[in-house]
Amino acid sequence: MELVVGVDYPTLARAIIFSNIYVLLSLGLNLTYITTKIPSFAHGDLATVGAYVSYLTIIFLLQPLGLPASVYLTFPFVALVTGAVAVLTYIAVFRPMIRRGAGITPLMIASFGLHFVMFAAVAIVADYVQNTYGVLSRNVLLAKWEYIWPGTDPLTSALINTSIMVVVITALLYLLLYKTRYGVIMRASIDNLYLAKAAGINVERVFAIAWLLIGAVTGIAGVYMAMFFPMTEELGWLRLAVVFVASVVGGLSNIYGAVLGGYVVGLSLVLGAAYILTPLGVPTEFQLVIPFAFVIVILLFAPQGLAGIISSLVQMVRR
Amino acid sequence: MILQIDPGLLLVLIRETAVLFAIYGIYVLSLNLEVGYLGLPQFGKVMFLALGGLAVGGITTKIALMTYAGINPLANVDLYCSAQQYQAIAAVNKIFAASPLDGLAFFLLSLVLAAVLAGVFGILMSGPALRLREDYLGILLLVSAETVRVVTTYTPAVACGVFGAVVPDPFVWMGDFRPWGYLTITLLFLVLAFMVMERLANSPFGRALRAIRDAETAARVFGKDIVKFRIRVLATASALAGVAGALLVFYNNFVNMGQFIPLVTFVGWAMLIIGGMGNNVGALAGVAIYYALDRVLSIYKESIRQVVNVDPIFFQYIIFGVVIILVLMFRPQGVFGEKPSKTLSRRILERLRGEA
Repeated sequence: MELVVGVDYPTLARAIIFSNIYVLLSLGLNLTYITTKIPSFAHGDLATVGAYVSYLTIIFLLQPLGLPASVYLTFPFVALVTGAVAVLTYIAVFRPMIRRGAGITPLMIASFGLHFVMFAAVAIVADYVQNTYGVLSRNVLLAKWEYIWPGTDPLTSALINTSIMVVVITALLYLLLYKTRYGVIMRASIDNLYLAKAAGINVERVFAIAWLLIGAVTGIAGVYMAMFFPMTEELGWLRLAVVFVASVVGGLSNIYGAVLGGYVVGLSLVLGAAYILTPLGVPTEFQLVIPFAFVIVILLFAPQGLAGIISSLVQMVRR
Repeated sequence: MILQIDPGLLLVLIRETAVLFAIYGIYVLSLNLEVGYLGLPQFGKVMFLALGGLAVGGITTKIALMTYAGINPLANVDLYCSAQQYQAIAAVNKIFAASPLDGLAFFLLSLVLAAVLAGVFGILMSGPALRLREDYLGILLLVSAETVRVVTTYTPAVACGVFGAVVPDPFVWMGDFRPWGYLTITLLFLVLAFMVMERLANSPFGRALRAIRDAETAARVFGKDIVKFRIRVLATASALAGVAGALLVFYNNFVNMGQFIPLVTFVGWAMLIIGGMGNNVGALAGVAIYYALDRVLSIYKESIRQVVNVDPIFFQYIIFGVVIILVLMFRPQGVFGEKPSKTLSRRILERLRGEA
């Protein structure tokens, strides 16, 4: 209990905020995995696109119109644009390749090619905006446009806001997947592709809609990322390894495994750095090794992830 | 639009590109053995390049310092890395300038150590490679490579951490001919690696690998020990990549472990995919195409800048990204597709059978 008592509020708040962000990012990655059977290397770039869309909307739309500059006013736009980009990547790259019967490795490499294109496109936009309009487009933090709850400091507000976002998005996903007809169709396509096709479901359209969701969720996660990490074209790419880890730890093929994995990785990353590495005199840069060690152990001994372990435990208890 | 380039400068550009071509050629050849012939999703390739670099910058450099200059860099790592590095290495270089034999011994020791270190790690990685599914294995290798990078970059005792380690130049005795000499040496290694890979690919060993890749169960039925084959391939390819890493470090005479980012892995993949998987000539062609495009674009950098005011390097990324996707979509076999392996012609086979 000593460790729990010794945890100070700012560190814990940061740990939960980062966990929330990783939850949102790995939710999108798990949906990607479910629809295309690969963890996409371009996933981080969707988050980067979301962050830049939000920033450019504030600078070029909200501020000239005299509207209050808040990231929340940009969210509909972010969700739409990043969703559109995600659908485009699915329709232009993944769907034709899957139709041609490409294997897992070629698809992963194609997603890496996609990363190149998206990363460079964002960088070109950033360069262009900076050189043409003189607007600072790198190393910006979006935190100054975050909504601050009355009577709280920015950190607490971010904690509240990201937590609300996670709850709202997972609840919406749950409602969509389990309480609507479309959700039934989507789950059917995910569970058994051939049966769904035989039942007359247009699986590809269902997956395109799923990619819209992926883009929207990831774009919003990207906005939150840009509040804590300086915004550059590498914003999402640099943290992609951690998102991969969160997804794998939770279980790639389970949507709610992402929630579990995000919290396990986020908490172990920040709390581990503050309470295990720093007292031992290990540089904090080593914090990345904690989740990496985690995932290596998980992959070697339980590749189905924590969600898989929990569900098999539940089944054992029921018997 | 043709730019006026000084011929002397162009020669230097070609020479430096040729050295990189040779080094990355070895790297991509080793990747081809794993990816093209065995079908392994090797997303952690940069790890073995890094281990080769580590063997030189982290181990043999320290040995050289202790034997030739009597300096123990580990006595005070921070002081050595931030202040003493250049003088200490200059002292070692002076000895190498006087006696080429010492330099060569240092060079060979470094390469052997790089190959051994990377090879041992390759064998370690074959444990998970036998158990995991394709996508999970890819992630595991990627994450392992990142772990190696993070640990070695932030441990100053390994290779001076974020400062980067200066490495003695074993060919300092060549004087002005050093760049040309080094080009010859790297090309020699490339030819050697190519010949070994060609022989391996066309031997029964290479054919067994293709069989395992395409029909694992069938290969097992015919008595091929899949575990053994995978371990051997990983060990060989990793050792070769380690040698490439050591050569890369000797090219720069400097190593910063932070340079071994996942991007290097994927650049290797891009080269291999463009050239053609499962074909050694294709692998080298991919490297050549990559560097040709890279250099042409870098020559026209300024002209592009005048048209659109953004850093032209990003157009290069877009071009490579689009090329990778298009090749995967429309020509998955690459420019040079996989060829049937060379076996003896029927006449020779029949004569041999007749003799037996």
